[in-house]
Amino acid sequence: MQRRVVLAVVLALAVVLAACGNDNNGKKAKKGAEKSTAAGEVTLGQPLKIVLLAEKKGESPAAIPNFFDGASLAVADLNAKGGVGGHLVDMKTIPAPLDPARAETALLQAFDEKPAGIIGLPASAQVVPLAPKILAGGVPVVLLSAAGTAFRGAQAQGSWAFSIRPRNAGVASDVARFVMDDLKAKKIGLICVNNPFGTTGCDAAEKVVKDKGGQILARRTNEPSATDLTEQVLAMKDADAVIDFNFPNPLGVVANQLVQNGIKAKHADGASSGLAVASGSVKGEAATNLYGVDDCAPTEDQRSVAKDFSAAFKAKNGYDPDYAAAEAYDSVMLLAEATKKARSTEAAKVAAALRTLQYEGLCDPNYKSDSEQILHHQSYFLTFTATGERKVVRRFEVPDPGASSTTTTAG
Amino acid sequence: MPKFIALLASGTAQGAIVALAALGFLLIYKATGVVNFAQGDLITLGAYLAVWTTAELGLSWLPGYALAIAAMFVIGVLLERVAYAPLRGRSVHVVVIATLGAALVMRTAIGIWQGTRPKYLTSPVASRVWRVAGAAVALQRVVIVVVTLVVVALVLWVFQRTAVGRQLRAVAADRETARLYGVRVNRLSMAAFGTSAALAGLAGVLIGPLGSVDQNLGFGVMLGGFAAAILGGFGNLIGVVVGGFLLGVTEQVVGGYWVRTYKSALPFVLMILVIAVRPQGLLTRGAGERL
Amino acid sequence: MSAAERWRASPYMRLAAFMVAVALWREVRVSGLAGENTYNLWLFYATVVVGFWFVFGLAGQFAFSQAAFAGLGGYASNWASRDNSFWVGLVFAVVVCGALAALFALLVRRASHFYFAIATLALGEILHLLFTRWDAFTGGLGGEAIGIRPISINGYVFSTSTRVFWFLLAMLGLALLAGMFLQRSPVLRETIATRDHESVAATLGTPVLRLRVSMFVLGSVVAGVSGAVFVAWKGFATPDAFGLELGIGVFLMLILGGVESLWGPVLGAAFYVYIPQWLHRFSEYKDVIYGGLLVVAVLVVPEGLVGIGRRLYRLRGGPGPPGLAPSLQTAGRGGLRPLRPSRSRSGGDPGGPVVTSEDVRVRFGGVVAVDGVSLSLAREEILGLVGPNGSGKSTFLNALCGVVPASGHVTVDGHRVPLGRPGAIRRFGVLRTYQAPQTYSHLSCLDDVMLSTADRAASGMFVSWLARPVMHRHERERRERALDALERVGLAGLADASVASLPYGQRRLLELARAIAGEPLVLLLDEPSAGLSAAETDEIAALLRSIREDGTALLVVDHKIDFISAIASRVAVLELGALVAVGDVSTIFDDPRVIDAYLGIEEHAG
Repeated sequence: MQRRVVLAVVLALAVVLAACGNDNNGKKAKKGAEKSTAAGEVTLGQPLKIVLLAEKKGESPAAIPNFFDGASLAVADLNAKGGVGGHLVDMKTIPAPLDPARAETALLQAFDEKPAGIIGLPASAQVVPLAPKILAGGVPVVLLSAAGTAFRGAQAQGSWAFSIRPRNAGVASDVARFVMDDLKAKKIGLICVNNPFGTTGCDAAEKVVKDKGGQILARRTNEPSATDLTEQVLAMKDADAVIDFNFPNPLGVVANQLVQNGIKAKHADGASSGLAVASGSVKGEAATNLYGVDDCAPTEDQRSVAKDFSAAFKAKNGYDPDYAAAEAYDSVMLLAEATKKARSTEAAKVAAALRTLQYEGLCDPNYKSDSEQILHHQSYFLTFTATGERKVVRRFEVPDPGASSTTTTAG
Repeated sequence: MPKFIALLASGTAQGAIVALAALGFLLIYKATGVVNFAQGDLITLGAYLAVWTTAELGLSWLPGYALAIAAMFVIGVLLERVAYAPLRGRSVHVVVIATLGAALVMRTAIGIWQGTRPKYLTSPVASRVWRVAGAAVALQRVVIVVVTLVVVALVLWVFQRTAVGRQLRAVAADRETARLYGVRVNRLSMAAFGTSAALAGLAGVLIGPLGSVDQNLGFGVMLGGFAAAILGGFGNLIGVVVGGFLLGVTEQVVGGYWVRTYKSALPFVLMILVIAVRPQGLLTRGAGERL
Repeated sequence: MSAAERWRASPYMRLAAFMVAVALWREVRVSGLAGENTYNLWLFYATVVVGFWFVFGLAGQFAFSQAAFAGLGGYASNWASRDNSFWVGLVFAVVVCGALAALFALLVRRASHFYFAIATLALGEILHLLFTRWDAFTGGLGGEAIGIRPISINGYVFSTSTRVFWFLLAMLGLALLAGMFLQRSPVLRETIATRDHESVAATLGTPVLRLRVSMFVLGSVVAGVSGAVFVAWKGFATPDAFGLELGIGVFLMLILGGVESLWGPVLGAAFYVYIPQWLHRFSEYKDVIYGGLLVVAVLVVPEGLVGIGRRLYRLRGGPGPPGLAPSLQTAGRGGLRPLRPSRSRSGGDPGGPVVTSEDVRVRFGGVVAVDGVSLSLAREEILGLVGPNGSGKSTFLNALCGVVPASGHVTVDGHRVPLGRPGAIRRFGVLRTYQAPQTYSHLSCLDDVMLSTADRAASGMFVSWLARPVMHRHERERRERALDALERVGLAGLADASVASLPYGQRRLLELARAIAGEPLVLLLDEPSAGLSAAETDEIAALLRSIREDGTALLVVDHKIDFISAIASRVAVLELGALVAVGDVSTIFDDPRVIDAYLGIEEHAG
């Protein structure tokens, strides 16, 4: 009986404390005033405050430490040089779960912090539903996910949403072009995961194939959690190549089932291939048959900024950086650059600066905002060895859809 | 024809796994009268344990699997002690909630322990195929079916022909009377939970190599197991196994040719129809009263 | 009554105070975009769980489909309101959810507990698949619907967090009010009876199927409406928001909050929404904590937070909770009115027997429990039914009441009664008691007795909401009759006591009172003297004789020959399921066939 009373009191206290703890957020009202000095960098009245919206650990596939590790390395690098505008950079991390309702809570908490910029939301499943709130949020948000249908054309330009990842449909079109030009495939099979990411990818690829006079043999879909794609794979029997926009798990299953069923088609995908191979589920012939895309190749890039970054990252965190870490790093740097250019930590000014600046980063030597406020315009084609190592084939560009044609350059 | 063979093979293998899962929680149901909603997560846990023993501890597949399954037995007994034994006097609702809570704990514990990137489980027949009638059937699926049939035969033999099996049947019929007859019902409950968890572990190591191992591995299988148990008649071991095969083949074959988009809903629709029309199961004789 | 008593007596005042408090708290303590958002989320979840309370708390049905119905309501309302107003969408959501819930509940009506739970899991999965695949309906790829318009009424758009708050608060208030109305209506005792022991409730005449289905439909509709409001508030809908995680979360909220009370959902939802924020450092362990809490809650604190609160209140010396039926002033009632059995509407031959059974047969697998028993019970007579153990006496009673499947014919008062359906025979005025008294420990004595009422008018869900005065009028009459019955058996002073507090002998009397209150034409009694002392047996005998004098026919199954001899005029003897002899009580026990049945063939001396 005593035990229950104590438990009851503790529980009641917990509820009360939780309710009271709420209004600690959102009581900030200060704005930064700048004080300029005669020469050199401007001294700002406020430190640059950034919020990172990503989970370091958790249930969802987007909960990996890479984003945090990359971003905090950037903050450390900036602060080692005295910060920005005379103050140390202040980055706060708020975990953003996959569930959109909870992600929204995290986003609102981020807004309540009144930062100069937000980096985050690594899953498109989070971004698409929250798009209206982001577009009207009042803080520039650098999105870590390939947000497909959410931001298109006029809706994006002049808004608060920026993307550090190349355009999904653009990547998909380039995969299709690669398959037809480089792999000389004519009969193409399409497999898409049943969500906006998969569907826009397949739509874009289908259009390219048809424009180039190729033939779509079959188009199939699957659930993100599917573990047996026999029916879909068998439909690809006579294809020269299979373009597969999927999540890493089903991608691995397709890769293996193609080989098991003796189907000789080449297998091409977007960014999930790297993850599928890294998890160890795709080896041998299934791996050598696979072609993938990655936003970023910090460990293969020969430029000194990339090499320095890779070495420093590995030394600090014990593993090689990937696109997630590198893009998070670049995002922080971009916000810092925009702040310096705007000479202010006011969100509106930082956003304006972001729209016009150019910056050399790890994943793109020339970050520049385009008509859909996408900053990043290149990717890499990859192949894989039988033991699961990856090799960069070449770089390709993912330009503004306003441009007339794509140019691909040897990497 | 090759397509049909391939789909049939997929369906049979799927049915075998579902039958194995159903067997697992049927064991607990017979011994304790409780449906264990944590069965799916036990399957997932079994697969992850096998990944750990083979990939991180570096054991080869045989000792690795054996260790994982043995560990699952222990976990099953632990589950009985924590989530079932203290609640024995209470209503069934309470026990269901407790197993639900245990399932939740297990699922997130796995996530914290192994992270959320999918893992890969090795198998001695990994990616080998058996060519039959122009179709390529993954050898792993054949192994699944064979192992399941062996295990089912073993379990049936234990049930019908051994003293332990007799005791289990007595407890299933009337727990208190069995206790009065000297049957150690507590020990039997622990053994049932342990064996059921070991069976779940076996199911996990069998399906792990097919795709990759992630947190939702076991859940769908468990639902399929429920469907099989309802189809075949809860409490009817043979019926449940037949029901499992029936469901797997129906989903893959019917779903492969006709109902493609919604094929994974087929087992559930079937399940609801069976409950509506013949709740004692398609393969059990008996009065159609409330279960 | 003092102010405090008036406060306690009116839950509606408490509801009003609650809503005022919620609004005030928001003014004072809730700030920031995230804070307001979370506060609104709490109201939303609380409403969903109130819906679940109808399904599980009231009707005891294990269902995992609550979240899926919220999703269905959201998508359905979005689909219908694309070119129409929000209200069209809402009505459509109600219709779709209600229809599907009713269809489902009827389809699986023969399933209970686990099977029902599993079936709801299956339903949830089917709905989830529909959401992800049926793009034309959901309006989005893979079920991700975006750009959903906010709620607007006559041009007033609920687009800000504050406006949405008022809407959600009103919605929760309505849901709680509906629940309170149900709690103060016959529906409460009937659902508790259905939940705790359904076949007994059916034999009392409780519409068990209608109750189960209507509670499931009600809960699912509440979920659907909440879902419709949610998607309009958020502006988007995704299948995973209404997936298994919420399905289990709903369970968690109700169990943790307290299943017995309407405030349980409110407290449980607050817990679910706020504790993770408080524990944000441990956010990745959140589900481990939830799972552990679930197990701990059922082990240690099964009544949940509400139960803890009540215990604390009582510890402080406050009075106990009011009884389930509001207490009644017994002074000023009229004198004892003899309970007359309700005459049947188009009665059969008044001279003929009131009950006849022809060739009733009950078979369990290979065992024949009742082997072609043909009996008749005359009006206003007491017929004893005796026989050695295992002769099928109780099974015969069960067959008459439709509790076990049987073949043969049974007629009551000239009407053919269908066998195998538990509620069927009640309509013809037949009630029964059981070997072990089947009373409901979660009810008060008065409520238990009111369960058998012959007056079923105005006891449904809709009447309790929309026509309360009518319901109250009928309730008063039902209460009067029940009190009369209690006085008959000498338990009038215990009307408000909880049944659980009664000793065995009084529970037996209670069961008898319940039977009397139903004004039966025929009363079937199964070993009414079991477990009673000699003095108590005499009391029962006197009571049974007086019931007969009021016009009820009795069929009494018992072992005690003295007892049977004292009350019955005729006796029937069963052995091994078959009728061995029927005759006058004074001569039947000398019948050699009867002696043979009980003792074996009489040995002649010498």
